[in-house]
Amino acid sequence: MTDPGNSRQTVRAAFVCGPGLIWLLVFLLVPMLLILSVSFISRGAYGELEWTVTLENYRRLIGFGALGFDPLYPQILLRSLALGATTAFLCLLMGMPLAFFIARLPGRFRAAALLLVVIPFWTSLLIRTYAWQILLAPEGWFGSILRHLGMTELYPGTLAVLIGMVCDFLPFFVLPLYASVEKINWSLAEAAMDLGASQWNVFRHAILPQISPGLTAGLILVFLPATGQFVIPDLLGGAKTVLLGNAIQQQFGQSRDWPFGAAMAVAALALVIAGMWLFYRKSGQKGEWL
Amino acid sequence: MTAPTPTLEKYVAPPLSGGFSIEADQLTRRFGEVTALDRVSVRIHEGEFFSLLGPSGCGKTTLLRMIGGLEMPDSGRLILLGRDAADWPAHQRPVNTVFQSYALFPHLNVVDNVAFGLRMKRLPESEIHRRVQGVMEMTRIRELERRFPAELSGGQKQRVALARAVVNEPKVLLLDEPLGALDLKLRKQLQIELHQLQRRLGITFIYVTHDQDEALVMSDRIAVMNEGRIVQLDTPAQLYERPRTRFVAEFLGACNLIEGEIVEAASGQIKVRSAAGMFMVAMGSIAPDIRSKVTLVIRPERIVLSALTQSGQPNRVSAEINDVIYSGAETRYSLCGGAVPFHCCLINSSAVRDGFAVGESVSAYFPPESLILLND
Amino acid sequence: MAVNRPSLRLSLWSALAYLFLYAPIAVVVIYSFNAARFGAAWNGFTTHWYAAIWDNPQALSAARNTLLLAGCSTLISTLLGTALAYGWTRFHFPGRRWISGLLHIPIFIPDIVLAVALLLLYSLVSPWLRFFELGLPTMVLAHVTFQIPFVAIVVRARLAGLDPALEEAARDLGASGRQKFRHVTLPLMMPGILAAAMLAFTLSLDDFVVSFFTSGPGSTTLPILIYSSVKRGITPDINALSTLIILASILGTVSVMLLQRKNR
Ligand SMILES: Nc1ncnc2c1ncn2[C@@H]1O[C@H](COP(=O)(O)OP(=O)(O)OP(=O)(O)O)[C@@H](O)[C@H]1O
Ligand SMILES: [Mg+2]
Repeated sequence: MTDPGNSRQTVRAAFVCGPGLIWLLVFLLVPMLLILSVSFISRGAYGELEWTVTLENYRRLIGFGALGFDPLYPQILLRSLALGATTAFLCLLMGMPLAFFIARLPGRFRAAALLLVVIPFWTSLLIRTYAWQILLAPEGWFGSILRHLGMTELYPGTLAVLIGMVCDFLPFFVLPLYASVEKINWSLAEAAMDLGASQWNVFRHAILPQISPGLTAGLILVFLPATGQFVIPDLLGGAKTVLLGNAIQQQFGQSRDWPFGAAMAVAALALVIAGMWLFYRKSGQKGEWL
Repeated sequence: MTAPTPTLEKYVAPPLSGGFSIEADQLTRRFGEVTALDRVSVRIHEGEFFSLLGPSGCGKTTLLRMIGGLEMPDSGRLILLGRDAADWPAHQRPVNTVFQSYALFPHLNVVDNVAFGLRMKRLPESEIHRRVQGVMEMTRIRELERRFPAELSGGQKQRVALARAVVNEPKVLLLDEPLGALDLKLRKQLQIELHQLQRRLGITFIYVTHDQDEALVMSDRIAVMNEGRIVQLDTPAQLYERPRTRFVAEFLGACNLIEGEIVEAASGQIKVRSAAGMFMVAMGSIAPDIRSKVTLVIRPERIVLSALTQSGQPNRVSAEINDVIYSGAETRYSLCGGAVPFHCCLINSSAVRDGFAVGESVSAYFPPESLILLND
Repeated sequence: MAVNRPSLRLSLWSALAYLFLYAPIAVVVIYSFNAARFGAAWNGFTTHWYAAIWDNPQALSAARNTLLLAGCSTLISTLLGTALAYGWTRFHFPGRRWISGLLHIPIFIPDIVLAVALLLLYSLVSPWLRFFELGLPTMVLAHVTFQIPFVAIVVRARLAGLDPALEEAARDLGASGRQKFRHVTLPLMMPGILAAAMLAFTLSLDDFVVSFFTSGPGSTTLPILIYSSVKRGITPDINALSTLIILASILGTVSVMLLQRKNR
């Protein structure tokens, strides 16, 4: 382990890491490249792949279809982004106090409170989502409360999707944020308080800089998967709340237009790569909160 | 090695029979910009208690790891027990180490930790049992048998680490600051135990420390290291009495340094002029070039204080006492004579305080045989 | 520490957040004991639906598929991921820096992208290699793909936290490379490996999207069964089944947390 990069180590590394790396090469990178290439070809009359190069799929994605301008897909893209951003914002409102709450608990309760956030994180998203169907249904617990409040058009719809999203992704936000909040040096905040800073200023100048890595990580970890979600809008949204994930599923499913679906998948990937880049640059923490 | 001067004969360790355990020749190791070992050459006798002493980062651990086979030299040669160590892998060398952090296996209890080396050699269980029990008896950890490292105190961990190494009956035992993490009292006790153990086993101990007292107490010989080099290798007495550089003089024990210039050299004596006055020094190892700048070194306890007499005599400085610190066994004085500050300490040999007071003027005598002349 | 206890306002808000997180889980568990066959009205307590699972051949075969899938993929991904983590931390080799990025791809990309990408690969290859016709084997391949990164990252964290002096001590005490690995490195890695395997198993158990796209006729798993039931209208035995899955996830999560704590 003392001499970096000598050839014997490379050979041994090839034996040890090789199988795993080859696996990821074959079942991760190759499929991604396939998606990328298929996004540039067209579809035959029966949904089969026709290997002629075209930019048609991307043109359609930004609204210039064969039949002139059609805002459907740009709308889906924008709606996905907007919904992802709203989810991230709501998670911030809900999760930030929660992270501070856990961090301020006495030590022996802290692990338990954290475990209570981790459990939903590892519990089937599908089950938690369909449970919202039950809850939000007109005769369900929440549903009937909301009906008394005069909110009838909740489920299925965008609001229901948002509720499902926030509930499902809240742990994604709280866990990395908590990792930062836990490490806060409170004496800085106290010093600022002593100097007579207002609460907001204490937070802004003494706390926020310390938690910004966790905050960035949390927001990105909510925003990215929320944008590409397929189960939640599928179960809780109506026909009007088609998101990127559903659109991809549609193209690979009923519509059988794989090249177009692939183009949408590439768009989702591009989004993720941009997000990952931000994540690495801003947070520097590499999934240690897992 | 230098021949000891006649007056120090009585301190020299008994002559060592047999050959060398370690013969290092120009060992060099670099880590990027840092030269951890810089052309280190040393020979260590069989059965010797040998210490490596030096400030943090001077390369002690690196040298030790090289002997253990955990580190390879960039250049130079290491002969271990008469055999070239270059192609001798660590796990086959008859050398064991007590690590700086103990490195006890956390998943094994004390017995299994101690038995680890013997199990790796696939000795019969009955023999393993016998030897492990014997060593645990000797290191007094029998009652800890079933405990795990996490359940041991620092001193207990240290004993287990020692037992785990010794049970393999190595030809050379390497100890990397084994007492560094322990409190003073325990350290003093374990120093004695380690010393006795070494005499009993009769094997070579190479002992790393940055505690000079520890090295002086335990060792047959000490190599003082600095910045990757061995700056002086001698018996403890020689190192203390005859340091060859300012670094060694200052590193081992307290000392006073007085800068001066040689003005005369004749009939076995050298005359040095300094701001504090004239000093006569016994002719030593350095060449007495007239006019060359030199440093005089004297240990605080060698200065003799007396009531003020006539001044102007060589080796006698009239000085004023600036500070007195009483510390039980001795009293330390800070003085200033001829604008040269120095320290002096007197043993409190009777209950009656017959020392000197702050502000008093005294005469300090620097005996010629206690003055060491350095040319750096 | 100079941290004050949470204020009342903070506590109430957090209680609300917990309520929000657990409401869906609670409703599934509670409804699994509801005697009513249709609708949301409470009609008395029953354990009938748990018994009913045993009489539902679809549910049983889905459960069998799910366990088989989770078991096989966990085994493969734990082996590959552990080896990957070991080589990644212990050896220097060209391209080592890229591994971290590679491993984070499956963690970040939306499930659906991985799912359709694999579907595309399988459908292009299957005309030549029958093995890749959609079914349990293709699902195993897919699950291993998203499990490997989690395993590798968890095991690597454990390895990176080990004191290098321990392995040196093993060498020093006469252990050959193989003995050192067998008697020191592997036992010390074990809590990390177990936690990783547990995680991988839970991931596989819960996965719906990737399974949905890579499954074939006859390889329906519990999440797929639940999805299609939900699409048709929820029946109470699905709630019972879901409750069992939730229970498995909770057990998995708690044991991972306990193992991780032991790691420190
Ligand atoms: N593996 C390594 N990589 C880089 N530098 C190293 C390595 N090992 C040692 N060094 C450097 O080599 C020099 C000597 O280190 P060494 O550990 O031998 O010192 P030491 O005398 O044992 O110090 P201490 O008393 O603090 O233990 C130091 O400057 C250290 O930073
Ligand atoms: Mg050291």
